Amino acid sequence: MESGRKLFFCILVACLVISASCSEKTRHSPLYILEELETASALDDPEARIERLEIFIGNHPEHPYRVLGYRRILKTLAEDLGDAGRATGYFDGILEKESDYRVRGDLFYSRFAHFWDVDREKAFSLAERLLEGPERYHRLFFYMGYYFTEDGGDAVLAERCLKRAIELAPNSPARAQVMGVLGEFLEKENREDEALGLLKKATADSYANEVLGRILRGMGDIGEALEAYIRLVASAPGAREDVGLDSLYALVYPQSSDLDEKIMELRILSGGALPGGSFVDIDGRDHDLADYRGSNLVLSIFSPT
Amino acid sequence: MNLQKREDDLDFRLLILEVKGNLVKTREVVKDNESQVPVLLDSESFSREVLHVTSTPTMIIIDRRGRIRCRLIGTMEDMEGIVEEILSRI
Repeated sequence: MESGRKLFFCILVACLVISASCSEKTRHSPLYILEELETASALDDPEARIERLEIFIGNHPEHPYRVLGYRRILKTLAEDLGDAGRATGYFDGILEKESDYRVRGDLFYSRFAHFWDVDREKAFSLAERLLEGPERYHRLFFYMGYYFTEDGGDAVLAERCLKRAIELAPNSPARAQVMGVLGEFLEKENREDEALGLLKKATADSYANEVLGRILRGMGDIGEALEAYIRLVASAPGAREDVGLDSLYALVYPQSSDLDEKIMELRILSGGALPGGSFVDIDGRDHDLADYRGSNLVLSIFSPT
Repeated sequence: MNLQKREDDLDFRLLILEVKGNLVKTREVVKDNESQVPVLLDSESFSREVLHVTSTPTMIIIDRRGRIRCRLIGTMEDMEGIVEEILSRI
């Protein structure tokens, strides 16, 4: 009897430990964290929503999704409550404690985008302050630069921001992406020679190839324009009709019919190894990319907005 | 999402990697498209930081040996045809 009770007690403790460890794992799951965020965000009352979002951030102070919490609090303060002062106070408070340069950059960008819509002068002044300051998230300067290239923007700030983004870009695809946008801006400013010099260094980026092709075509360099457009379509098939690739190819190579083959030669890569990664899906199932070895895999990178 | 119907006959697996953390909208899209494709949450910015994806949508095709063989960006009309052609060559 005594040994029976002991056995029962051991099984009970084991069950409790397993259950606690599963709960712990669930609590750290990105899906659980997002569910918590969505529950907090769904509250109708703005003050209650802010309070729950603050609890959410407190529960996950190191998790990347905390940025979504910050953004939603700022939005609630600025838009639902119309309290610009409180939004500024909250924003300043986050900056005092956040050292992650990407989180800081993301938040500064949200602030800039908000000011762009409601107080353009503040947006300009924020950008100037950031250009003089220590922030180093290239996307912050990239997005601000992009805004400044649009109507109502500012050419000097556009160029400064985009050049800063190029300096800060962490890898060549990111750098090439910004160079494509800067190249187009220079084209609009009738600085085509500068644009060409820049874009020819960014041919890994499909948008850069699109702009390059357009400039070269406008200059009458049809052969080089064609090469740029072939590179473009190799990575962005949807652009083929937009740039009139087939008719341009027929113009340059009237006897040739190997355009599709040329595109495929560039489209098929020799291939670095896919890095490993583990994820949870929106139904709570775990996935490890290594488990798909042995199958051809199509990975679709997607944003619902 | 039509690509999912070709998984068996083209012999590949399809995964979606959601990068914005927008669970509500993602679930709406999945429901509207009646999709069964696993939608993975990219909470650590794997696509941006590791795969160096710079814009969405991007499609990456990986062969059986785990090598990246193709990157396609933007929307495309004949997605199935393009994927079929690539898979036949890798």
